[in-house]
Amino acid sequence: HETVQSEEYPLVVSTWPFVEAVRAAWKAVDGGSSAVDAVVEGCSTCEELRCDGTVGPGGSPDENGETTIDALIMDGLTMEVGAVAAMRYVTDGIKAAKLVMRHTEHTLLVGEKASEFAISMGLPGPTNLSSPESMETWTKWKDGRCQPNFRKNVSPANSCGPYSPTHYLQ
Amino acid sequence: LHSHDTISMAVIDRMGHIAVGTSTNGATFKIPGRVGDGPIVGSSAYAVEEVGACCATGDGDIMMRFLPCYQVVESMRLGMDPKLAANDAIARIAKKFPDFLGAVVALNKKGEHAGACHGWTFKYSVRSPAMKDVEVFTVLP
Repeated sequence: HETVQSEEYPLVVSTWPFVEAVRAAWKAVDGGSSAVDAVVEGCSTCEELRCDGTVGPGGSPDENGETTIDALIMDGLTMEVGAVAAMRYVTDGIKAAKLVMRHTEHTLLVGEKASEFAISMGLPGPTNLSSPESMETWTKWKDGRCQPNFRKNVSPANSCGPYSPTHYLQ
Repeated sequence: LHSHDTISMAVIDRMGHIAVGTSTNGATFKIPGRVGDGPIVGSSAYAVEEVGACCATGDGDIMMRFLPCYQVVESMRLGMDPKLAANDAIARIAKKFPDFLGAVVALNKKGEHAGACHGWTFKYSVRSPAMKDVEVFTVLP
């Protein structure tokens, strides 16, 4: 597991075997695109392909069955950053992040206001981010008494909410 | 508890400029409003032109407390090679949270790259001019 050296630029590296995303980024950067634009190409490809169900719409339903999007882009030359978090109703996470970076002085927009910004700046939406698969996953989870979940020190511990804090830590 | 996957990508262009990006729909069955490491700069990704870049994936609720990608880039700035920097960032988290799942990829200005992971076997993908197509690298915990 040594460090691997590559010969020269350009270069694309991505988590996981998201091969199509890397190919898309490579095609862009090898054709002369900037690093920022190539990152957008690569990450957008995974959003369209719904890589592993964990990128883009149609996956990872929350406790309410809703899919929301988190994305970030950073330019290592200027140290500019744009990001969106818990963005609803908009599928294009990385493009929304780039809009924050390019067209605002801010770094991070969140929630429904991030969606409003993204749509106002030209991205498609509002869109339902659920899919038949994500709704089936969520329905099974509800039927299984909402297990597992990310709650702790709450009552009830072994079924769905509403939850209230338990007091044994006091 | 759950697996958390994210695309986190770094690109060096023909000018030698570096950018990073991430995109994710987060953790399944998260509490509504939860934000993970994906949109947190220095956690899921970080890039500094003069040094290199880092991409991370895994249990974002834990990882975002350690800013692992900021740590990786700063370690490389101080002279660590990518493998050592990646291992060090993961080890800092594992020391406090031995059950966490996570991985980082470190990439320096010379195009040298390496991964480190904890709790699972990690794979990352690379395309360089020396390769005919994308190559997938496997990193064992």
